[in-house]
Amino acid sequence: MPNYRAELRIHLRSGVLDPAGEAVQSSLGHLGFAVDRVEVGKLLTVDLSASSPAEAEEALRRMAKELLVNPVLEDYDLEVRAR
Amino acid sequence: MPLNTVDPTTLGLRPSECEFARRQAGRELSDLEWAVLSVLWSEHCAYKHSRALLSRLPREGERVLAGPGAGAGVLDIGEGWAVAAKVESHNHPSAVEPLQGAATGIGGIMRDVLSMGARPAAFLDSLRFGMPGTGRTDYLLRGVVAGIAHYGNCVGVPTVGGDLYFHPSYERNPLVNAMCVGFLRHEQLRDSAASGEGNRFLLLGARTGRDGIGGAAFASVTLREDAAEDRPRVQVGDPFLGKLLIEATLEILACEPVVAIQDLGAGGLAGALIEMCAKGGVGAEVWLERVPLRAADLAPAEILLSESQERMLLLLPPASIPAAQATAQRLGIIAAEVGEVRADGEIAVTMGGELLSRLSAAIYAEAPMAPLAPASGNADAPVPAEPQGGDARSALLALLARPNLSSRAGIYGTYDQDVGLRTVVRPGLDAAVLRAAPGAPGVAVAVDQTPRYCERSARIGASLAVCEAARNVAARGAVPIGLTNCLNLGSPERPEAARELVDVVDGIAEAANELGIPVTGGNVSLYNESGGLAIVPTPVIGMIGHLPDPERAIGVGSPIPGMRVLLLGQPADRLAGSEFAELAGVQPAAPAPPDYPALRAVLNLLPAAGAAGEIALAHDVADGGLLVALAEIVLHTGLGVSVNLAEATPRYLFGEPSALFIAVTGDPGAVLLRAAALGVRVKEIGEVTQSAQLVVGMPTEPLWSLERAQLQRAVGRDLL
Amino acid sequence: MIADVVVFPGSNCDFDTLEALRLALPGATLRRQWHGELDLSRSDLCVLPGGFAYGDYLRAGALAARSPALREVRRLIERGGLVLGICNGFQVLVEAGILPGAFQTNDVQHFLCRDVHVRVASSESPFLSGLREGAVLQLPIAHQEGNYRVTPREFEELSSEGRIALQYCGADGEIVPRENPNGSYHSIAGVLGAHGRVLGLMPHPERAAWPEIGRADGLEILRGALSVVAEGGRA
Repeated sequence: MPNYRAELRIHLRSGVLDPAGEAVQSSLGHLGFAVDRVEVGKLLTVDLSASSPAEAEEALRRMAKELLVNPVLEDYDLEVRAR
Repeated sequence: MPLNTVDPTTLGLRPSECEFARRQAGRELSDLEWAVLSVLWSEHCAYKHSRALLSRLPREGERVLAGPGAGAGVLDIGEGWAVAAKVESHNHPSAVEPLQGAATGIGGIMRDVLSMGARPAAFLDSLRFGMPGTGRTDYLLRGVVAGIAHYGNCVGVPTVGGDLYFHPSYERNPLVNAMCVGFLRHEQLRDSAASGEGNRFLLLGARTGRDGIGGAAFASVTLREDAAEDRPRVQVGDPFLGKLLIEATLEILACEPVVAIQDLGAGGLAGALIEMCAKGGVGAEVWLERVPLRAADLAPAEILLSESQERMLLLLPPASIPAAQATAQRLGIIAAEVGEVRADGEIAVTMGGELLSRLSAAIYAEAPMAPLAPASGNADAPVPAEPQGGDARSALLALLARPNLSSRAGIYGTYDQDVGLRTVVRPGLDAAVLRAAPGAPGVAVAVDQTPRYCERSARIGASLAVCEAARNVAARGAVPIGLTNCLNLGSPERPEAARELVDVVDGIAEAANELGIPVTGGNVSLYNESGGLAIVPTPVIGMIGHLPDPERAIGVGSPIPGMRVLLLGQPADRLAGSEFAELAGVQPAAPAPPDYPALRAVLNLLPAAGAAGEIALAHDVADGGLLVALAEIVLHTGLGVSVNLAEATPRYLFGEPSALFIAVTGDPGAVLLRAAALGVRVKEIGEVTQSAQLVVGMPTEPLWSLERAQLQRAVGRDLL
Repeated sequence: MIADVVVFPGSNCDFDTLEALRLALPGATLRRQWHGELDLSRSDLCVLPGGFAYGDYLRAGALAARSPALREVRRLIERGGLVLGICNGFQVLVEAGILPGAFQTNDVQHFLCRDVHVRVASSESPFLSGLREGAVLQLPIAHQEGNYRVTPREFEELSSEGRIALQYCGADGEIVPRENPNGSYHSIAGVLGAHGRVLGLMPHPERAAWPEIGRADGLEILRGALSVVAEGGRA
């Protein structure tokens, strides 16, 4: 089966308080970097084998639902490519 | 003024409540007013089903400086010091998102204590879950423990105690009750009653976002099967900001003439402001455009009701506002002037100069009471025949491995237990000891309730919870001087649950009266049921025990080999309600009611003997009974205990008495004299040994022993 | 003698440290200074206390290490003053590059609070001058990111320069993996800066400065600053 590399970028759902992002933004401001927003998220890189990109993506979405993402607070983007 | 477009019953208000509100107002209410009313009149905010009942609890005591109705109970502990304490539930939010649910529960109770002018000094947590080993329960337990650690450790307040029980009835309705204890000087005590026309409200802390909108109403509706759908309303805690909020609040209280102060909890800004006004018999004008927002598009009702965390509301004379704001700014926290006191008792909500609503504070604050229709009392189940004989050594090992008795050390190890320098005795046995400051008076603190007892008799179980909490602080040589409680029950609209509510209140009242301990406040969490399954009645008791000299509390020093082991009090006379009865598969029955005379006597003895330095260690006999308690001493001290017991019956070894302690003493003669004078039954049963093992001799049985390592393996199950 | 405790937003052991220094350094002038207004021009000792500066967001100590306050700390070090970083303060010193290495989450992957034993590996520091090499202290730890990492080469360097200050050990002083609470490289619990005038350590000496409740092994470390003053003050 072909090998794929999936990248799952987890970010907070819109409207959810992001204390870490706010603290980092404020520190950047003190260092002279003016930025409009900082969000602290997570990046998971998952290597797997699947029969097709669609199957790999489907597997990742199940993983996200069952473990990797906390749907109360988080949302995610998914990218799958051959490796 | 905007008109009414919404049907208020869709917001959770009953038709009779809507009628009552219209009658009080003399007009139809606007959408905004209905929204606020629906939150403030929820069970969670208004105690509709319980308020009348709670007046049965004794509140008077010579040490009570602030009682029910205040943000937290406050008790005098001498030398100008006082302790503030309160326990509160955060059950439903924790069922939906355990980490943030627990974290915001901790933060919420911390701000209650802060609102009294006290510096938060310790947390305790009472946790209830379904039986461990299922994926869902393990996920909830890990999340809740992580949430407590996340918030408590970072905010700089140690976690020094708690209890954890598993019972199938909590499977869908886990309970997270958090208690906070704070210390203050008497002159620092504050109140929340607003006064003084023209005084200004200062909103301190986090920006307001769309967090937990309708959270209070959420806690008052029975959890739906698809709780995941309720998710967007979950609040997120920020302990970092919480820490700044503590320091900014205490500094402003110290430096400025703050008239009144209240934390923002259920019902958000509206809840805090209206409660302050109703208490003080005044009104307020609110300027919504001045509330700092996290999202620009919040509607007026959302600004008023948002349950964004880490916020306090302070009332100050206008001239003091600039200085208070400067303090906040220096510490990196936002402080906005959001309104002023009106003398006429009306709450006027404005936005950019436009009047959105004007309604009497009293209308918002006085929800109509809901009648209780309790089922008639059930006779407690008959006491079944008891098993005889058996292998005590194996039974002990089996008991220690039960989820409700196994070690909690791994959980405590994830909490900072020491920050603040007030922790004199860390958690682990009975109660932790705190000092207000090095060299100052202090307290022993504990939270308790045993689901097993309450399952068979809500009333006896509630009484026993008070007794156990009192025993736990007494084991440190403290005198119980006040208790706070959190009553967790099912839907009060069901006659059976209504009966349980009445019974737990009566049970607490009975024990509090018998032991002379005032109730300084509490919290009621109803509707803990889903899918037709209600929780076992769970009246959690938080106990404050007074220690004039906490640095000499029982348990500060260590026992020494050769010290004598005494039994103080009344051994168990039955197995009913015990963990052993469950293990043995005996038909469950109600536990024995408390033996108040025996308990009173030993509660008098321990503080006196402790202060005289006669007792090195004391431990109350509770879950699992006498042998379990002896094993816990071996586990705790790392030393051994060798005893000769008077009986070999299961009820003596494994029954769970209400008035029995094990005490380790270097001066048995002195303790015996005291016991005789106070009418405490006392028996010397053995001694402390260097070799770390439990050695037990019993009549007609061969001597047996267990190494500490064997005990450790039995209790050492990793719950996390 | 003047001793300063720096308070970052989120520091939570600042009051505790002051309280313990009051006991350890009788007669010293003690100041609690907000990081934004930090002035160490008259200071003999500066303590970066434990806590969660800036919530420990991003990485423990990372945001605080970029505070202008650190310029003031560096100036004090250049003048030969003493700097003590406790727990989060140690993390800040490492993030600021004042001490070598880096921190990861404890190998058990969660916060840990308990008493540990540490062995004095070097007494070439005023903070440790009252202790002999090989002495064993019982001190509490309370941290989530205490897994201290250095490369093998850095470790060799630090060792040869006598800059490994403290190592986790058993009650008998034995340095073995099972007594290492957090996975730190070679059980390192504390390291010294060049010349021994900067000490970073994960355990909390201020929580063990209290003989009346049987926790006093941290006092000697806090008293260490006195040895420099007795020698005639800073360079």
